[in-house]
Amino acid sequence: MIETPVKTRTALSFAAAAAVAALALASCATAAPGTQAAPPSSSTSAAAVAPQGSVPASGSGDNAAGGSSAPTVTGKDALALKGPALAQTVPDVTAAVKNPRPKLPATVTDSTGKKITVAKTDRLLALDLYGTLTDTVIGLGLQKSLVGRSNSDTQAALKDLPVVTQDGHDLNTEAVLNLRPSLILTNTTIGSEDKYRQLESAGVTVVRFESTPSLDTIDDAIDEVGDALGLPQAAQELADRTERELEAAKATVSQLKANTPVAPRGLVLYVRGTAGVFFILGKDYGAGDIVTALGLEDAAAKNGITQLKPANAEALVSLDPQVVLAMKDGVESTGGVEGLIKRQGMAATTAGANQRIITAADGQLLSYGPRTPANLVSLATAIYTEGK
Amino acid sequence: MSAPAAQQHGTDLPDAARSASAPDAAAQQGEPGKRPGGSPRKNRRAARAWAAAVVLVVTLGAVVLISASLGQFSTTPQQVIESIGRVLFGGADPLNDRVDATLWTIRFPRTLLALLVGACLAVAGTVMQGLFANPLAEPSIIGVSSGASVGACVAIVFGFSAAAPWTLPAGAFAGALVVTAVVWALSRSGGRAVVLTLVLTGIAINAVAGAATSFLVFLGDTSSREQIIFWQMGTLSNATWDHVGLTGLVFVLGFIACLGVRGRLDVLALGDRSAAASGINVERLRILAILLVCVLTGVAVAFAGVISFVGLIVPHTLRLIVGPSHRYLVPLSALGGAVLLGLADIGARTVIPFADLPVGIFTALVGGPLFLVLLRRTLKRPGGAA
Repeated sequence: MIETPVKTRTALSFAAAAAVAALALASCATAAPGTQAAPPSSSTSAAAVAPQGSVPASGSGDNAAGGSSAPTVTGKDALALKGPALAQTVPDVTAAVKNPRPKLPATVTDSTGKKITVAKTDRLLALDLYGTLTDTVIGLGLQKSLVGRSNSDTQAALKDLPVVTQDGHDLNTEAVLNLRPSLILTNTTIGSEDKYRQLESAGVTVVRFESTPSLDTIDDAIDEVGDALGLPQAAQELADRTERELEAAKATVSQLKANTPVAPRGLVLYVRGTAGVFFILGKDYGAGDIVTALGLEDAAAKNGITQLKPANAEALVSLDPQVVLAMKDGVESTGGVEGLIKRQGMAATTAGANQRIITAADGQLLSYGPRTPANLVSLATAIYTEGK
Repeated sequence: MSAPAAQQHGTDLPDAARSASAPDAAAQQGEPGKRPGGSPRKNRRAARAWAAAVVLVVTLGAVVLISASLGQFSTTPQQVIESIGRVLFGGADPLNDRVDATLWTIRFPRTLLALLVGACLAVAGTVMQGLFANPLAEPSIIGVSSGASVGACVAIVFGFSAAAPWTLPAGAFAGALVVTAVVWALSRSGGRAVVLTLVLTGIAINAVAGAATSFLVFLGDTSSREQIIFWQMGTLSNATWDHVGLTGLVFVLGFIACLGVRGRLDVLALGDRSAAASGINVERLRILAILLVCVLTGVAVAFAGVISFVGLIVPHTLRLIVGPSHRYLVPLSALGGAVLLGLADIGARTVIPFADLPVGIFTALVGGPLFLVLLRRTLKRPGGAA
C-alpha cells in the first residue's frame, strides 16, 4: 500500500506516454514485414495498372511522372468515391550517379553548429524515422557502403542488412559499434544524444542533420547529406532530379484531381493497436505538406492543429475529414479499416461513412526525400481513382 | 493505507527486538545441531555474515568478469584481458583501436556504473527499512524517485538535455533533493517528524510530483516522451566515465556515513522512545539517515533512471540470510546490490540483438524468484518471516 503512489505515478505517466512511445516505435518499427514483400512486385504491378496512374520509380526517367509521356491519367470525383484504398509502395530510389568518388576529407557544419571532418564514408549508417537519409545515401550511389539500417528503412535492396533499432526508440551502442561504422548520419529522430556522444567518444564520426518534414527543404536536405559525404556534385544532380520529379508529380496530381470540383478535407491519422494510440498529425509531424500537395484541404491546419493531437471523438467529428490518410500497418493493427471506423467518432465523419481510408506503407506516408514524388503520385492515384 | 498504521504499531516490536525474543530461526535453519543461546548465536550470526560476504565478493568478481567480456560488440575474454593490459599497463590510447575504444568508452564504464548504482540503491533501501522499521519501506516513499522524475522530465521536455546531456542527471538529482526536503519539512510538527506522518506526507507529495510528471509528459514531443518512459524504467546505457566518477564519489562518502549510523539504526529498531532512552538523538539520526538515503538514491536515479526493486529486495534477502542486524546488513547490501544490478544489466544489454532493455525488468526477474525461494524457506520454519 505504501507503494501505491509510486505505482499510480508510473501508471499515469505510462498511460499518457506509452501511446507516444508506440507511435515513434511503430511508425518505423512495424513497416518491415508488410513492405518488404511489396517493392519487388510493385514495380511490375505498377506497369500493369498504368491507366490508373503508374508509380514512377525515382530516377527511372525525369518525365516518368509527367504529363506528356505517361498515358493520360484521369481521376474521378474524389468526393464521390467510396471504400478504402491502398497506395502502392514506391520502388527504391535509383542512384543519381554511377560509381561516386567522394572527395574526402569533407568538412561540414552540422545542425548543432559544430564543424565536423568526415574522413571515411566506406561504412555508413543513416538513421532517421522516415528512412529519408537512407534514401538520399542510396540516391547518391553509396548504397553498398551502408552497413545497417533502421526499422524505417524498408528499401528492398537493404532487406538483408542488420536492423539497429530493435526496440524502436534507441540504439545499443555496442551493437552499433560491432558493425564497425566509420560515419553515422542522423537527424536524431532515432537515438538519443547520449548515445551519439558515446559513439563519438568511441571514434565514430557522427553528422547530425535538421529534421524538417516539408517539401521545400528536400533539396537542401539532399545537399547537406552530399556535402557530408564529399559528393556535392552528385547531391546537386539528385536534388535537381528530385525537384523535376516533384514538379512532374504535382502536375500528375492536379491532372488526377481535375474531376474533383472542391478540395476534399484531408486528415492524417496515426493509429496503432486498439487502445489509446490514436492521434491527429499536424504540420510539424509532416502531415501538412503532403496533404496540401495531394490537393486536399488541410483539415488539421484549418483548425489550428500543427502538432500531435489525440483523435478524440468530438475532434474528429468537428474536423469532419472527407479523406483520411493513415499508415498501412497501423491500420491493420487496429483491426483494419473496419476497426478504424469503429473508433469513437470515426463513423460520424464523411470519410468514415464512405470508408474513404487511404493507407500507404508506414515508412512512406510521411517521407520527405528522393522518394517523395513517387509517393505523391501513388497516394494521389489512391485518392482520385477507383482502384482495382 | 492501513499498512503504515499497522507498521506504526509494529515499531514497538520490530525485527531486531522480535527475533531477539523468538528462537533464532535463521541460525536453527542453518545449523540445526547447535543449541540456541546468547553468545554462540551471535557468533553463528557473525559466521553467517562473513560467509555471505565471501560468497558475495566471489560472485561480484565473477559478475565483473562476465560483464566485461559479454556484450553486443563481440569480444573474446582474451581480447578483453589483452585490452586491459594494453591500456592500463601499456599506456595505449584506447582510441587507436576499435576494440579498445568500445571496451574503454562503452562497456567498462557501464559495468562499473551498474555495480555502483546497485550498491547505492541497496544501501539506501537498507537504511530506509531500518529507519522506518518497515520492511515495505523504499527510498521512493520520501519522494526521491518522483522528485527525480520531475527534474529529469523538465530537463528532457524543455530540451536542456538535448543541448547539454549533463542537465538530465543534474535535474534529476536536484528534483530528488527538493522533493525529499519538502516531504521532510511538511511532515514535521513540534520540531519532530513521526514515521506515520512522514509516510502519509510522502504519499501526498508523490501524487503531486506524479501529476507534475504526467503534465510534463503531456507537454513533451514524441521523442522526449519516449526518453522519459525509458528513463522511468531505468537504464545504464548512457554510462560515461564522468558518471562513474561522480557516482563512485557519492557512494564512497554515503557508504562510510551509513556504516557510521548502522549501529544506531539497530537501537532505533527498539522504537523511538527506547532509542531516545538509550541516549540517541532520534530526530538527528532520522534527518541524517534520510539525507543519506536521498543522496545515495538521488545519484543512482540521476545516472540510471528509476530502477525499482533493488532497494527493496536486496536488504530483505540479506535479512533472511544473516538476520536483522544493520551491522552486517549495511555493508552486505552494498555487495548484494552490486551483484544484482550487475547481473541484471548483463541481461538488459545482451538479450535482444541491437536493443537495450530497461534494466528494471531484469532486477525483478533475477531478484524476484530468489526472494520468493528465501521467503518460502522462512515461512516453513517456526516463527515465520522476520
